[in-house]
Amino acid sequence: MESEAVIESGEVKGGNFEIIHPPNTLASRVSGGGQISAEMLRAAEEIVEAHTTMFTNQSKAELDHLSDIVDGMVKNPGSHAKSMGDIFKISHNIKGQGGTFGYDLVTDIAASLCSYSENLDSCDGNALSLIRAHIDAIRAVIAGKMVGDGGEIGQAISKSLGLAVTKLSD
Amino acid sequence: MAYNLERLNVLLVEDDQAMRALVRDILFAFNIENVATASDGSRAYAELRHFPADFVITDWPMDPLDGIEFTKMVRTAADSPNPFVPIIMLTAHTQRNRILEARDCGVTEFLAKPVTANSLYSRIVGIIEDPRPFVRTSSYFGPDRRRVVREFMGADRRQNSD
Repeated sequence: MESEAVIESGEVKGGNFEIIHPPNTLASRVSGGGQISAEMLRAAEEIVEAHTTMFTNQSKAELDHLSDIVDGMVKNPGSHAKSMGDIFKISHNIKGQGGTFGYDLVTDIAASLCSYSENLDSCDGNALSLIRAHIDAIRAVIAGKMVGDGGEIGQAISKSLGLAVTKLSD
Repeated sequence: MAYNLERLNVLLVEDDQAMRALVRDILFAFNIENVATASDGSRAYAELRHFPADFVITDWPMDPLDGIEFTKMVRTAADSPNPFVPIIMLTAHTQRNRILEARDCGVTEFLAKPVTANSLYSRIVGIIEDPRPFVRTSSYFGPDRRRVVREFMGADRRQNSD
């Protein structure tokens, strides 16, 4: 039989409150304990490796989409707010995926694009070039299968993009 | 020895196909086979009506209903199937204001992307071993937002080793 929630109630300056301790049903449905096992870790590593192709294919499609958005911004130089929002969303997604699949440098570059695009409503030629540079860099990292932090070259690319973002954001 | 998690039911809410497949399969690697998936918050809420999830893992940005709105519905909607279900938010957002926003809508734990097997396992262990009480006030219902810092009562084994 499941135990019932324990409820404490009280009153503070702002009004009444309740603190509820629900029964820990989750604990009753597991057994054992401790850290992740070597077997689980090995299986998870194999899974990440097996899914990497799906990630790289999906990223290529997302990068193509980003390039199309930038092309559209060049053709229609009016308000770019919607396009910038789309760039933020896609780069945010790539940022989350990169390191998960072993592409830490992709996460770094996408994070740079994310932070740059988050607060921009419109772009001049320099800004559009910088966005393209991020897209091209991510594309090169994936095409070159530069897993991890990308080594010295990868870090130099990431650093130069970061410096350009700082310069254009001032 | 690790936890035996095979009896758990997990609802995974993620719109990105590659990420959804990856997290689902990592859960399989943890021997959690009962994993229901949904690609946005509205589908997840519908799923929750008939799937007895022990916990939920949800992404943040999704269309039409994102992870924040989904969490608010689970916590406060009159017809919510389980307002107390632990919710782990999977997010690439790292800014403090974003994290506070998610916390204030009732998220139990955060799992930052990039995701690793270790980080996912540790969040699951966190909700098993350290369940958060819930707080109800006139303006909030959800897990206690104050983090409990437990005093370490045992001997410091690092000093005794070697």
